Amino acid sequence: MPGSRQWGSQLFLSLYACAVLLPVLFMVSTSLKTNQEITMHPDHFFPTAVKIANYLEAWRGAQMGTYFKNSLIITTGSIAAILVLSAMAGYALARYSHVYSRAGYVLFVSGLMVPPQLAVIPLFLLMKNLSLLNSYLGMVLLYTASALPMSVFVLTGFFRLLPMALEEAAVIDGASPFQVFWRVLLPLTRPALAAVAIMNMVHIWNDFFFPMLFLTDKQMKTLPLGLLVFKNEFSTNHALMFAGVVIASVPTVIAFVALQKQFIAGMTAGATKG
Amino acid sequence: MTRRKTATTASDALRRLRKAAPFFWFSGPALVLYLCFFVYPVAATFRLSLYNWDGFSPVQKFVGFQNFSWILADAKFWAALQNNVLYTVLVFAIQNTLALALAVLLNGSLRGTTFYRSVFFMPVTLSMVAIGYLWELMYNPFFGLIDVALRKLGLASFAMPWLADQRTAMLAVAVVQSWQYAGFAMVILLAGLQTIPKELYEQARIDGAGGWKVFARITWPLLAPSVTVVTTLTVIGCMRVFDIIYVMTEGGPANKTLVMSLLMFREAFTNYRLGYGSAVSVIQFLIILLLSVTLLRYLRSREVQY
Repeated sequence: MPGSRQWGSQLFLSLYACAVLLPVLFMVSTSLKTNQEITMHPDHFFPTAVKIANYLEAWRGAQMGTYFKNSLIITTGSIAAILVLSAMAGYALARYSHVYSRAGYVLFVSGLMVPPQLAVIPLFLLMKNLSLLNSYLGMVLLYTASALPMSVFVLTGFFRLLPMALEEAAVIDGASPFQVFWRVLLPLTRPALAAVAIMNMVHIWNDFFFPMLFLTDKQMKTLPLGLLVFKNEFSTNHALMFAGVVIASVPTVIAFVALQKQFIAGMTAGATKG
Repeated sequence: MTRRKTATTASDALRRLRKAAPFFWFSGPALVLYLCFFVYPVAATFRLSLYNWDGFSPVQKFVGFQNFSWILADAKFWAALQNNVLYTVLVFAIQNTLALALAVLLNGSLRGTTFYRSVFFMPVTLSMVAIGYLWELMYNPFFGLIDVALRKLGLASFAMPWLADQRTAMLAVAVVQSWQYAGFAMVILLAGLQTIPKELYEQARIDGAGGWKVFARITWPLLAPSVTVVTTLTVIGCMRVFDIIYVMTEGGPANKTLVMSLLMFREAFTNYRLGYGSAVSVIQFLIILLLSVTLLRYLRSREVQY
């Protein structure tokens, strides 16, 4: 009896694994077909002849290369700013205990209740007035500000777990607050920093709401937004479009496969520790 | 006397502030950025919801709560709210039933647990735009995998344009969202399952309890904290859904998938009714807040201690 139950479980799990992987495989195989094969032979799951040229055309002709570069700059810039600012703020909120730190914590954490959509209309006007539309700097500032509630929340929680004795010892040895932060505590927060970096990396790389509103210049668009342009420009060129979709998805998938444990922990950190 | 007292309190306050200086050096940069690009715009949305403005003209006309009464009289808003609720119910049912089944199965020490967990989680790392296109391809009535398979299996009469048909569009989108996030919910539930002491299961087995009874009496009640998290996240996420609807249906066919976020976007950025759009955002925020607070209170009350 237990044997048959085991088999049932395995069957269900492998069926659902197929339901996850088949669409992805179908997407990849479509990106390697000719348009004629996609529309005329819908029953071919795999391409009869692999057409790598779709990727070259997407990268150069359809500007995927430009979008890729923009995504890379905006994502790395934002992650750097998020890590620096939220680590410093998290340290301050966890290690100083007075009215200001309690008020600051409440201010940041209450931001968790607010959906970013709620800020979007005045943000657009603000970005316009500061001439930050269509700029890397504008996107980095935006992403950093909207990532702060969750990142500060996670890091403050982590800093609070570190024993006070560490700091006291360093202070007795004559370390300044900055040295305590940089030399003593920060190296210990590496796992939390990794979680914050990963959850924001996936979100920013894939986000399309902010870029849609704040990046209207074609030369500045990020990958998800570039795909949207694709759809309007090449609506019948399915092969090219799916080559673009694969290009946009590859970096996060590779990073995920390489660092599965850290990804799963990082992306669910906000939910499980909340 | 009194003067001296105020002087001391002032210098006291100054001293206290100076003592707090390192605190401000560390938290200042984040605080300033957060206030300028998050707190200020959120506050401005509330203000703007009381005005009529197209975003260009020099005058913003104060109209009090008129935008709100217009919205409440707008059939489109009620349709959008209803669609949000329908979407929430569909995703909740599909995604979380699936996630629970997967989590329970993976919690037993089966072979390949890590592999399955990673495969199920993988879609979470993909972009909504990519997933939207991928599933448009799946749903395509001419060369999509689903309809092609149905025709091959001799079920051609079930083949249909899933996203273009008014009856199935919402369900089709809900399936996609569930497909993406079932793995996420599963991980949270799995983490909850792993905190349940193994001895409880052994004791139940010794007492001769069957699979369903064990689930109903041990697993489900002790899983309550994780269920709280998953439920709240699902409801909040679905009540403010935008990306996937915008990518896959743009609210169509015939506004059957129009949701509140999309209504806000259209009013503010297509029709240039910034006040009206802001008011939609404010109402949506209040609905979500009320809903999540009520839900949390109920769900927390059913969490048992052991």
